[in-house]
Amino acid sequence: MAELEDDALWFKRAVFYEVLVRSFKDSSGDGVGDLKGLTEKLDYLQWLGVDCLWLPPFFPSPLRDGGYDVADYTDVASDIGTIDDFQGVLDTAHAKGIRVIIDFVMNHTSDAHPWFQASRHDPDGPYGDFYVWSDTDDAYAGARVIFVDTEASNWTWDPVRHQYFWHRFYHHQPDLNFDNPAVRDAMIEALSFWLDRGIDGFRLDAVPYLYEREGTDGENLPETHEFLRYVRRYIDEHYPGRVVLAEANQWPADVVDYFGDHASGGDECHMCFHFPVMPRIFMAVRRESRYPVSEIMEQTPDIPSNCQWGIFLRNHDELTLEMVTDEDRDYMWGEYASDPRMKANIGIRRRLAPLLDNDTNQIELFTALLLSLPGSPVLYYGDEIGMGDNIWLGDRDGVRTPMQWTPDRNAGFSPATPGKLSLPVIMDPVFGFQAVNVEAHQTSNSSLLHWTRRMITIRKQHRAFGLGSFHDLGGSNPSVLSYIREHEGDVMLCVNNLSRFPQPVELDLHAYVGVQPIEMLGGVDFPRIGDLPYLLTLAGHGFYWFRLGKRITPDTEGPPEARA
Amino acid sequence: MTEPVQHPHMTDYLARQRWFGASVGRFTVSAVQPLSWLSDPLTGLGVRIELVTVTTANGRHVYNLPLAYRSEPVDSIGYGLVGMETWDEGDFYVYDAMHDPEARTVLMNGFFGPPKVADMVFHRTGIEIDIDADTPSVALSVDQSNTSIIVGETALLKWFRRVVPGRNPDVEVHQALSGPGSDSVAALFGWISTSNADGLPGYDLAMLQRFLRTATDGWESARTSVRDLLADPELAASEAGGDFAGDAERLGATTAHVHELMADSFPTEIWATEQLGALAERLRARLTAAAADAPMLAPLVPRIEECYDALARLDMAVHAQRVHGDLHLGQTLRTTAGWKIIDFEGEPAAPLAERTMLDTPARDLAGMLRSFDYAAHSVLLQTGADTLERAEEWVARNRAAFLSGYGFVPDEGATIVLSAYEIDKAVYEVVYELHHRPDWVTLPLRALERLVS
Repeated sequence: MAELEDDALWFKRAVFYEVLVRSFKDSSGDGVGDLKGLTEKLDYLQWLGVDCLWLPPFFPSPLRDGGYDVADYTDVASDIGTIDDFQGVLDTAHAKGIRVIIDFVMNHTSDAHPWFQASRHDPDGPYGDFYVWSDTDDAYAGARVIFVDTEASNWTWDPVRHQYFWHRFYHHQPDLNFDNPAVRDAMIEALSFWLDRGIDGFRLDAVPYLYEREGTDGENLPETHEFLRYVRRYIDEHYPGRVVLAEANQWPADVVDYFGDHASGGDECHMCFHFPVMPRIFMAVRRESRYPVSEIMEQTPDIPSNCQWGIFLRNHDELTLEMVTDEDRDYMWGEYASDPRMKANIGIRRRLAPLLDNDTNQIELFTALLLSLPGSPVLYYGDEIGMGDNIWLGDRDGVRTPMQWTPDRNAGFSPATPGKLSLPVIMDPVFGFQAVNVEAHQTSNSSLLHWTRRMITIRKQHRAFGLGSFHDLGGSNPSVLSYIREHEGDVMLCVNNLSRFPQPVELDLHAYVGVQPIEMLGGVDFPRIGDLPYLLTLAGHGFYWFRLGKRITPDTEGPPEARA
Repeated sequence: MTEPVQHPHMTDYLARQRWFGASVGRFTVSAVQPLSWLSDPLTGLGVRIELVTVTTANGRHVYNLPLAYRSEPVDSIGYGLVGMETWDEGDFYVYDAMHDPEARTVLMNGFFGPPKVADMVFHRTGIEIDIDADTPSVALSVDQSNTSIIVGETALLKWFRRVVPGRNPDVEVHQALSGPGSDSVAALFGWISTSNADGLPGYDLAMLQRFLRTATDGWESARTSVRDLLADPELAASEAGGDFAGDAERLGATTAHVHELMADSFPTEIWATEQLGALAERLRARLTAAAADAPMLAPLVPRIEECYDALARLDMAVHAQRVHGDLHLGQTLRTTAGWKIIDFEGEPAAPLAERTMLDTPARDLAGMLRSFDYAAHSVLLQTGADTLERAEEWVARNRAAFLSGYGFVPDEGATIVLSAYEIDKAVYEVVYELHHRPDWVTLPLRALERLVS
């Protein structure tokens, strides 16, 4: 039995895995994945090498925003289980050496939350001031409307209380009033509820918007940072080793503020998502040029020593150019979006494999980048077997179809009659569950699943990936992205051919003269680094991970018996 | 030590070097002028610079050789051995100091601390540098006409091999252009020159600038884009994933910025009909010489002359200034912080006065446009593909983007000037290809056909 490693900075080296409980495994046969089902599948996740699960919201909810519209912060939605079932997931995961973080939405609740119902019916009661109410809809005019497609204003009239309420997202998700100390206390109480169950941290949804101030855009306000520091102090004091991962969909230069103070190693969030990395990887491969990635890495500020980025290729959300800052969007449109195919690709409601035309070489290259660029990688359930999507399902459900376990009925996801499934399994000829499923991938040693597992294993053997510095090597070929990750003598050289054509590259490795590169997938020795630029050739979309081992001299080469 | 310099094997060494302009038997070493020792050979490692005058049929040229005198041979740098010297003090193994790591450190030492010799000056600009006297260096293998070494991770020492008295234009332009607010060229940290004190003509010997570690030259980036387009016969150039137009446009803007800085830092002139007539005369003279060398130009000559006549007849004022002089994609670096323009030496073969002569900025634009043409068509020539239209589509799109980024206003006069320079450049290319790559002569010839039609 595995054990959790005793390391407060575990998250800096962890491989995360986002799993949608409703779509992973149905143990009850009602057609909806549930917590007991997830518990059954923890062996699989342990085998794959996952260090930490990220569970999107599983709270009671009207499900008008994928569960991010929370109606009760301290309970489990009845269709996926009970608090005891959750405890089962947590205890079993911990016993297998897997940590668990859960989503937590602080900014707003569902309008079905009892707090909101109390607030609208009883303005003078204990919850009267829990939300942001106003007689007019003209305050905070500087705050943009985020969901411009569906919302006309950040204010919506409530016919019950006869006032407007404030909401940065959907009109059925009223923003909580963080100026009210009782709201802040209620948040801490809810966080404590889950921390007491033993969870290892939170992903905090939509953190930039907690406070409103006149004359500002209502994002990244000092009060918001102050509250996050307060949350962090509280967690550090009572629950050391638990982490806070912020979803701040902002440009890295702004996101970095959410890590907090540099001198103390960071006093706000332990982790933040690095949003621009994903589209830049797609752009770089599309343009056969390393610059989209090299530039974003160069523009990414240093972060405090006890902090880490979270990076991902795909997740449950769509990711569009609208979701980065104006400055970055202008740049990206100017640079890349003159290309209509690119636009179609970046408005992503699709899974990784269909986005990449199911091209194994590209899927492997993207995964190799995800696992070797700075930051902790977050895998999305099903991408490890190259699952497809169903673009005919509404909203974002197309990438939330049931996990494909076997070629049997309902892909082994559920024993229910197929018509009962909350979302249909993928059945098209290329990505359908008959062909694409865990069982088939586990049987074939050359499958994407085995390859991914092997890469995760290598990553975990080398601390340089999680903790190391990042040094872009440049090089003679603009289609080849090469970098060194280095941590306390553990040196990994990663060379990625972003082009579909075979490419040569000459690398300046003069700092490593005399060193023998060892290719990590096969353990093959490559020629020793000499005084001249190091020449490598790569197949189309090929990549190498090398360990730069010890410096060798002719005396130390070869087996002992070959030496004089 | 004042031993006469012998260097019996130096001619062999010189003839093997890429930066040396003559082959065995075609030159003699007529004089060697050593500068002061930067370190004494009696320590086991002597380092000094020797200015070597070489006489060829075309005249005399001075080469700049930093040499390391070692009392013991060093096997690992055998390829840099110039020869043996036998002096009263003993035998010395003489190496090219650019290939000797310890000797390079001695040379770099001059930039730090008080002056050590009277006949050389190690200038430092105010730009901060994060290397010190002991920072190790490596030689770069890519140079053609010079030798460069990388010092640490951030500095590049460019050793000028063939030197002429007076300011080296590369140093001169970098000194004027690199500074706060200018990120279109690499920052200049310093340079080495001879001192005029004892009547020597002043030479600029080397230049120390920022090493742009993550850069790739524009030529490679452009050809990557061409290859991407040619592989997708169904896609228009504007739809191709590897579209270069965004980069071409920014390169145009960077070129405009560099021209602006050069106009601010150096003299400018206004050229009217008279000077444009003189320019047309110069172009015509070059055409005549080229046509004598390359008979296939003959059918094009009348139409080319018409273009030059149009230039001479122009009734307009044109801005003239210092220009790059040899601008092409290979003189540009794509870095993670945008484009940089490098190598302001001008055409290395031309005399210094010609290289610093004022000219119209259109000359640089023409050089870059010809380079776009080469980037596209060279891929066809190398692969044997016959998709000329696709290559032309790429050229047209990126020409337009570059000129738009530059802010080029295509009125009739400006267009006549620009195409005259393009024609002149293509005429030169025909002669060059004829002598060096006869298979490629169709490339500039086809361009000429287009330019004069």
